[in-house]
Amino acid sequence: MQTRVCTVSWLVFLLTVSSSCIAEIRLSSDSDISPEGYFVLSWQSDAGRPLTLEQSQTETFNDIKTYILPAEGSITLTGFVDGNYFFRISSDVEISNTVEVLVSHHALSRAFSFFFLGLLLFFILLTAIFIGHSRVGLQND
Amino acid sequence: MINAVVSPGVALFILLVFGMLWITAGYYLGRKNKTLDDHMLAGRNVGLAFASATAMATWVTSNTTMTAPQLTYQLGVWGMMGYSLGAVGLLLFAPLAGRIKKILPHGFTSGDFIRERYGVLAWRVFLIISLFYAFGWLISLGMAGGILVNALSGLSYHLGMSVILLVCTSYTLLGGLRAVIATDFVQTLIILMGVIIIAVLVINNIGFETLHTSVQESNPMLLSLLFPAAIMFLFNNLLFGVGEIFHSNVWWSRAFAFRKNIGTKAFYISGLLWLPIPIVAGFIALSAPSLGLMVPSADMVGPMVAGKILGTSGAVIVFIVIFSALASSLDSLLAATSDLITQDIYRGHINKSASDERCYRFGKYIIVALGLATWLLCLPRLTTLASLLYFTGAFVASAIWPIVFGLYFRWATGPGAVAAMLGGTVSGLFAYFNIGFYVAALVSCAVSLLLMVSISLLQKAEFKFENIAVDKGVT
Amino acid sequence: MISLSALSVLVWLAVGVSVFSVVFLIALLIRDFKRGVLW
Repeated sequence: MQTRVCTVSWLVFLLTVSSSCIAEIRLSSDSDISPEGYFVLSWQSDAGRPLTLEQSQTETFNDIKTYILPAEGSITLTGFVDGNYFFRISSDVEISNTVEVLVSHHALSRAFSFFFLGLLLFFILLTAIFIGHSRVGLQND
Repeated sequence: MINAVVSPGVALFILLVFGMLWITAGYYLGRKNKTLDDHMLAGRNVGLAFASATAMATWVTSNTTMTAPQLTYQLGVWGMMGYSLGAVGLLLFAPLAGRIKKILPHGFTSGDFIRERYGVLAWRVFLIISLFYAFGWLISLGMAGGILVNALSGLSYHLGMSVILLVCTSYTLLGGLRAVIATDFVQTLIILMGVIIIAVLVINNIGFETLHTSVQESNPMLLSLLFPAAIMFLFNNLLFGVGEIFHSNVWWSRAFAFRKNIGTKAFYISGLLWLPIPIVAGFIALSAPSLGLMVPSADMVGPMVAGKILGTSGAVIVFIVIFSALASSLDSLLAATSDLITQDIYRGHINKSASDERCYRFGKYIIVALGLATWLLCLPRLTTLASLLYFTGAFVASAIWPIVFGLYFRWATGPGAVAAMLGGTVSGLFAYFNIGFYVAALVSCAVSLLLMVSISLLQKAEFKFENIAVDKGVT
Repeated sequence: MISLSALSVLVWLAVGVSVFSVVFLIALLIRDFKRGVLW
């Protein structure tokens, strides 16, 4: 009888203690769609365990790349080419939610439009200064 | 974040030693200052060596040393090279500096020109843009100081930020523009030597081959020459820099302060000297992947790389370089903004008959007030305030055409200038929020050009440059 | 993609110009000082 009470109390104790100890790792990204190929992942974790970030291009995490995370709650990833990327954090006992980031760079046509607009403005600026400067030079002579 | 490789004690020691050096220089140089021209404009006779160095040093801000690696980390090689295009602002200002000195021999500020050229409304719009930019820059510098000191050494944000602001305000107050310029020269050499040492040590430690291979593997876009956002960034950054330099009293006061015929040469030299710095400072970010660095936020990549590779000595070098970069910009900004407020707000709006001596004294109070205001705004460490500087792209790029056309062409008019500045700013901000930070200045510049030209030409005016008569103050 | 050699040339060039800048500025200062035209 006493051992049973003990076992039950122990189980109850374990349940209460462990439910407050079940750390949740929550992962989030600052953007769902990144037109530049960089983004910031942030996480919250209650347990002070070492964490690993897993990156994959498939939802099932078949082919993963790992990063060992430092203590700070965020990391900036950069230089990605177009594609869907899935991330999750794992510690030795649990895995966080999965976050998906779609990297979709601006269309090159859009990029070049801005580039050529900028080039045009720059050219106009150079011309204006050149003409203005030579004109006032002539006036002074 | 970074393993605080420099101890707080060492950090404070460095800040105080250099601080005392600058303040002593400020004190001795200030003893020679007797008039407003001495204090505000270093006697209007600065020679080529000091002129070149101060133009270069002031344009090397903590942004250069921190943002160059950050942009390289985010936008790759075009980000790094695009940042170098910031030198174009200095290069293009060279002919303008000569023109400014010629048509406004007794001018004090950029505001003087806009008021004389375009009238009161344009002047007020321009002042709003100028002061918004000045405060944005001051706050970003103040906060950067505290954050960096804290990240590199663990010294508290508030203590670091306060010491830096106190040192810069003190020697600017004591010595005026002469102190600013003299300290700038030394700070230029420190910055140059520091970034060279760090770059060479990074190359020796890692090597280009390892660097190139690991970036290619894990962050391939950074090596791409067809990186869309980076391509959009190129001319945006160029025009942002041009807008900053063309409108800001920091550069106009130098145009007034440099000896005749020195200004143009000095700005060309400083532009060329500045050109390689973002590359030297920025490329180290590309070593982050090979070092396996987990970068929490992109703006910390520079100090993180330096700290990781170079250990304590590297961190100390980074610390001194960044402190010098901060100081060389803060002092200029405090001085030039105080000039603007004294001349254009106090003498321009409040006390129109204020004498030079009165302005001399008032200007000193304003320097203290600016230092204090910056400190108060930096105290709460609101990061949104630090990003204020990015908005200013839309504002400052809108002022390019009013200034260029106003300096050289008779057909540019006040209403055109007002429309250009307002329309450019609004459209630039729209682009900022709807597309990205890397197009705001470009859009603002484009819209500003259209408005400036169309409205001015419709008015068919012909301005007489002989009418610009800024003798000693507001006419 | 920027090649390895292009990247290294670019960076070394930038470092070289920066080294030159230090020497140049000091030389300019000495010249101005000797001529008495510092400021």
